[in-house]
Amino acid sequence: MRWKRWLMANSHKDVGTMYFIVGMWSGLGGLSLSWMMRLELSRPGMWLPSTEMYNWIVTLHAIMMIFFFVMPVLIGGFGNWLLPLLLGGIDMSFPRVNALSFWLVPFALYMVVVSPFIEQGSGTGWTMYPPLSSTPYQGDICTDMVILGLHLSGVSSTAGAINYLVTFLNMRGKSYKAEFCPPFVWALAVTSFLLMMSLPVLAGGLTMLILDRHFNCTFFDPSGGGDPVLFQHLFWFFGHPEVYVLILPGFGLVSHMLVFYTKKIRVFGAVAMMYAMISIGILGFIVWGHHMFTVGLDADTRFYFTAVTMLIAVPTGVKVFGWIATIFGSFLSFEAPMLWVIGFILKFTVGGITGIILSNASLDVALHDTYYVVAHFHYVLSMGAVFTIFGSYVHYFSLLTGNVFHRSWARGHFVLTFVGVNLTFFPQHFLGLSGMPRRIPDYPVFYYYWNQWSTVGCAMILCSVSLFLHMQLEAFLSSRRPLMVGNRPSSLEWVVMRGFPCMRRHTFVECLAIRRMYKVTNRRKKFMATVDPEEVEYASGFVVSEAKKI
Amino acid sequence: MSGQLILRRLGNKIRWQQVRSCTAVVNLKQVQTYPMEQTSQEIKDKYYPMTGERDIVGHGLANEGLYVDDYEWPCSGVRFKANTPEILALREKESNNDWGKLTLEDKKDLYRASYAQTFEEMLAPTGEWKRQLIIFLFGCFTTQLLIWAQEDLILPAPSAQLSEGHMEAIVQNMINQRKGIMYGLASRYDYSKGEYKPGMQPKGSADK
Repeated sequence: MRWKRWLMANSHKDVGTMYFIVGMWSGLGGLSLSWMMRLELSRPGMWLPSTEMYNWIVTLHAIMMIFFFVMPVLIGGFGNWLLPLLLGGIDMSFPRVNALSFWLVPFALYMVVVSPFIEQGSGTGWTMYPPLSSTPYQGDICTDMVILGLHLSGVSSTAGAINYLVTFLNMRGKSYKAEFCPPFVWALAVTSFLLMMSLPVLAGGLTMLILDRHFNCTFFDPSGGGDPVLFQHLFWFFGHPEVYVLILPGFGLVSHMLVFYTKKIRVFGAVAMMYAMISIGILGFIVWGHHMFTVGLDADTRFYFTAVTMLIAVPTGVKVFGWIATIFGSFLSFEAPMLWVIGFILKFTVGGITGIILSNASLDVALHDTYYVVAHFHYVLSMGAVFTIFGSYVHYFSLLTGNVFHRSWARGHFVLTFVGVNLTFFPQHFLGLSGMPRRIPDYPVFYYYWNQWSTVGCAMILCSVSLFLHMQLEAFLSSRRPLMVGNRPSSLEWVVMRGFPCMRRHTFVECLAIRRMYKVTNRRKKFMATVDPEEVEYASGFVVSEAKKI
Repeated sequence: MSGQLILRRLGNKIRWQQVRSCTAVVNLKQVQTYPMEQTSQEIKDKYYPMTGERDIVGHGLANEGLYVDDYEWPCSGVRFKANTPEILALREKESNNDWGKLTLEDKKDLYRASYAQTFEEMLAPTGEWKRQLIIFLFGCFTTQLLIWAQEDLILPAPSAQLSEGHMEAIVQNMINQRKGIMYGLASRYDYSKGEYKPGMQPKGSADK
C-alpha cells in the first residue's frame, strides 16, 4: 500500500523527502505567524485580543522556524538526500535510526503547535527564561507541552547527529579521504558535532525547568538558593552553537552551488574553508555569554566574551572571501540559485557586520533586546539560512524530483523575496537604534513610520512565497525534465544524474572507491605505474582479466 | 566515467573491505570507460540513448552525450545536428581538400551542423529582464492588494492618535519637554524665537 511505503520508509531519500514536507509545512506556519505579528505591529494600538496571544505567537514563530523549518530542511532534508550521495555510500549508517529521528519530529511539532490551544498559550519566547517560565507566571500545561516538544525535537536531532557523524566516518571508501570530502559533508559533520555536544545541555536545562515547575525544586529560584541566570547559561551554551547549526549546512550548500555555477573544480581554498567551519564550530562553544551582557557579568567576563565573539569574524571572513574568490574569474550566469547565493553573501555579510557591533559589550547595553537584534539575526537567518534553503532547493530540485523549475519564475521569485526581506528587516535597524524594544505588541507613534515599511515587506514576502508554491505546482504539472547537468561533476551527487535518480531508493548499490586524480601524489603515481590493472584483486576475489575471459 | 573520478580501485593487491560498517563484503563491479569517439552503436544506444544519429565528438559537459551551448565550455559531447548526406559530403570535402577551397557558405554550414550558436549569439541579450520586471511588478501589485485587504478587512480603523493633529501635538510636546536637546528634535528648535531653526523643520511640517 502506498501509505505503508512512507510509514515504513527508511531509505535516505524517502526520509529526506518527508523531512522536506514537514519542514516546509512548518515554514509556512512560521511565516503565517510572522504575518500575524506584522499585522499587530503595522499600527500603534492593539489588533490581537490579548498581549498573551502576541507572546505565544512570538514563541511559536521562533520555535517553528528554528526547530521545525530550518533544521529539518537543511539538515534532515538536504542532509539525508545528499550525504550518502556525496560520500558514494549506499544509505545512512543506521537507516532505522534515521527513520526514528524523522518520526519524532511530527510528534514534537504537534506538541508545540497544539500548545496555544491549551489555556493561554506559552508566551515565554523560545528562550524560556525563568522566572517568566516558572509556575507563578506560566503555570499552564501549554509551557510543558513546548518544553516536552523541544525535548522530543532534541532527541530527534541527537539521533540524527549520531547517524550523520557515523555515516561521515564509516560510509565512504577507504581511498576517499576526509579532507577530499565536499564542503556540505564537512558542514554536516561539524553541525552534527555541535548538536551532539550542545543538545544534552539544553535537555538538562529543560529538565531542571520541569523539576522547578512541577517537583518543588528551585534550581532557578533564588528563594530556594537557585539562580535564574544559571538557566540562561545552560540555554545559551546550547543556543549559540544552535545558531551555527542553522547556518553551517547552508555554508556547505553555498559552496556546492558556487562550484557548480562558476564551473570550477573546488571552492577556492577548499581546505581553508573546511578548517574555517571547524573553527566556527569550536569557537561557537565559548561565546555564549554575548547573549547575556546585561545580566550582570563582571567586566573581565564581558571583555572575554566580546573578544572571542569578534574572533569568529576571522573564520567567517575566510569563508566569505573564499566564496568571492570562487566567483572571481568565472563567467557568471545569473541562474536562480546563483542569485540566491549572491544575495546570501551580500546580506549575510550585512548581518555579520551588525553582529560585530552587537558583540561589543558596551554597545550591547544600549542595543540589547531592541529591534536592532531582531534585524541582525533575521539578516543572518532569514537572509542567510533561508536564502540557502531556497537556492539549494531550486538548484537540487531536478535531483530531488526529476523536474525543473521555470527559469523566469525562479529568478522572479528571488527578486521579489530579496526586496521583501530587505524591506522587512532593514527598517528594523532604525527602530532598534531608536530604542524600540523587541517582543512587544504595541509601541508609541514615533515608531510608526518604519514599522509600516516593515509590514509592507512582510506582505511582499507572503506574495513571493505564494509565487514559490505556484512555481512548484507549475514544475510538477509541466513535467519539465532536466536535459542534462550543466557542469562537469566535481562532486558525486550529479554523477548519477542520467535517468531519474529520484525514483531509486538507493543510488549506489555498493560503496564507491573514489580517487580524485588531481590530488594523487607523485608517490602514488609511481606506485600506480607498477600496478597491472588487469590483475587487481578485489574484495570478493573479482579479477578484471578473468571477468573479460567470461 | 569522468576524468576526475575513477570508479574502480587500482590500488594495492591486498584484499580490503570496502564498507567497514557492513558485515558483508560487497562486490565492486567493473565500471568500464569507453573512448567515446570510438563507441559502437550498441554502446551508444545503451549509455547515450538520446544522441540518435549524431556523432559523439568528445566528453562534453558532465560526460553526457548531449549538446549544450556553453560560453565557457563550448565543446559539446555530440554534434548539434544529425548527419545528413549533404553534411557528410561537406565533411569529406573538409577533410580531404585544402580548407581554402571551402566556400564561406560551406564553412557556415559545417559550423551550424556542429554548433547551434556562435559565441556572439550566446552572449546576445535575451530580453528576459522584461519578464523579470513584469513578475516583480506583478508581485508589487499583489503586495499592494494584500495591504489594502489587511487594512480594510482585517485591521480595525486607525486610532485617533494617528490623526494629523494628534501627531503634531506629540511633536510639540516633545519640543516643550526639550527632548533631544543635543542631537534630536529639540536641537532643531530655536527656543528664543519660538520656531524651528532655518531649514531644520521636521519633514511634513515645513510649511507650518
